[in-house]
Amino acid sequence: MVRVFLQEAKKYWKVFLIAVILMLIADSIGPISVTLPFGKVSMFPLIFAIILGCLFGPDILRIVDEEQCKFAGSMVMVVMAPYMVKMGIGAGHNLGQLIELGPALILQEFGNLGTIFLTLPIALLLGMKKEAIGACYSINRDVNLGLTTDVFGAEAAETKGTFAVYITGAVVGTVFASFMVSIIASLNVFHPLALGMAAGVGSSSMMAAMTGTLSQFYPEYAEQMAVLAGASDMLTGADGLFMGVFIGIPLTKYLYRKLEPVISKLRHEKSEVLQEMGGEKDEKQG
Amino acid sequence: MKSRVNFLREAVLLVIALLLMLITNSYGYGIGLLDSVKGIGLLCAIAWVGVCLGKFMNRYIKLPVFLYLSVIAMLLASPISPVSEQVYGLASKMEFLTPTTALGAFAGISLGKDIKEFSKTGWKLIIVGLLVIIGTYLGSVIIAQLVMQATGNI
Repeated sequence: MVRVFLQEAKKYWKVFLIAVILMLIADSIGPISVTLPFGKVSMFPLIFAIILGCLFGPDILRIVDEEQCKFAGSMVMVVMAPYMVKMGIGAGHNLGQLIELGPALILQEFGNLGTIFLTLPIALLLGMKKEAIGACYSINRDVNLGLTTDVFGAEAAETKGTFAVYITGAVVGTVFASFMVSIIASLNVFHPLALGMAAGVGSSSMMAAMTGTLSQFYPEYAEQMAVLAGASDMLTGADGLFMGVFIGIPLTKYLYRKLEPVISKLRHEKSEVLQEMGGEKDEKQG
Repeated sequence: MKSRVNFLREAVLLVIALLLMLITNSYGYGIGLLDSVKGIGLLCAIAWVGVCLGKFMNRYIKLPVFLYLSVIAMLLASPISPVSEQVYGLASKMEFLTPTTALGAFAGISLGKDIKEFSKTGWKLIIVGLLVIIGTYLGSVIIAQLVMQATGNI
């Protein structure tokens, strides 16, 4: 048993060493806020650690290999556990408020479908076809990647769309989410509790990045925002699959069939939907 | 036997996570070392119980492991718990953002393997990938704001 651990230590010590270095650098920089013409952008150590961390991988500095990268990925889940406990304790302590905000918490889950209405038309205008369905129906985290592969098959255009968005989210999503939430908070339109609650999008690292950024805007709401974000992320984790199966995918497919012919005409292209209908091809496979 | 190794492995990894988080809590946020050890130690201990329970229960019913530790933590700090104040007090020795630096470090190292794949992604899909995040967030924040206004919470 001890031998197994020693073996692992030998394989992965570099990951921990790099993590310590990254953390010391990131925590030394501390939080930074920059005021830009379109709003205030806040950054905090998580963002610095991510940006610096990706340099060590096999694609750039080659200090750690792919297997060590994967191990770092599993360490994310280990660190996530005490973070979730912290949010759970916050939730227990503020249980009354959490119950009071129950309706908002549950209903905002449907807001996660907002991506379909925003993204699908733009994807089609950019000239994407069926891959747009996979790309647009959800935030495309791990759960959705599995679901799309399951529904459409590994080689389907839809799955390619999901995978591309999955990779984009993994690489730039966290930093982008933090930037986005800075801008939205700068608008001063939304209440901090709404901003915090919405941060539970189904990706723990995006949620951490967004609540961290938000707590620099509203330090007095930091705990409540984190608790609400945690609760909403928990809900998304539980309902994400069903949201996708019963609403996300059918709704996106429906809108695709309605919108694709119209937008193809705008782009002076042949419509894939109309062609398939003409060819009497059954698009539902397996 | 195999599950015992797994539970032990989880404990070792959590102790490492604890040591790393001490950097952020004590060096980054200036909270005393002893207080930090107590606070983070409690959180890691609850996390360990939750993860082990989740993994054990996974044989019978498939639920996300985090569900268990969140529920345990929530119950421990809720009004029905006799130790709620102590648990909350100890846990507040760890800043809310403390785990995020370690989270960022590991997430950063982990995505090092995806850079090449990402650079192959077309610009259109990258735009869509970013819009997806905006759409998911905006949809939720608008509904949350409207509902809380309607119920008079904000």
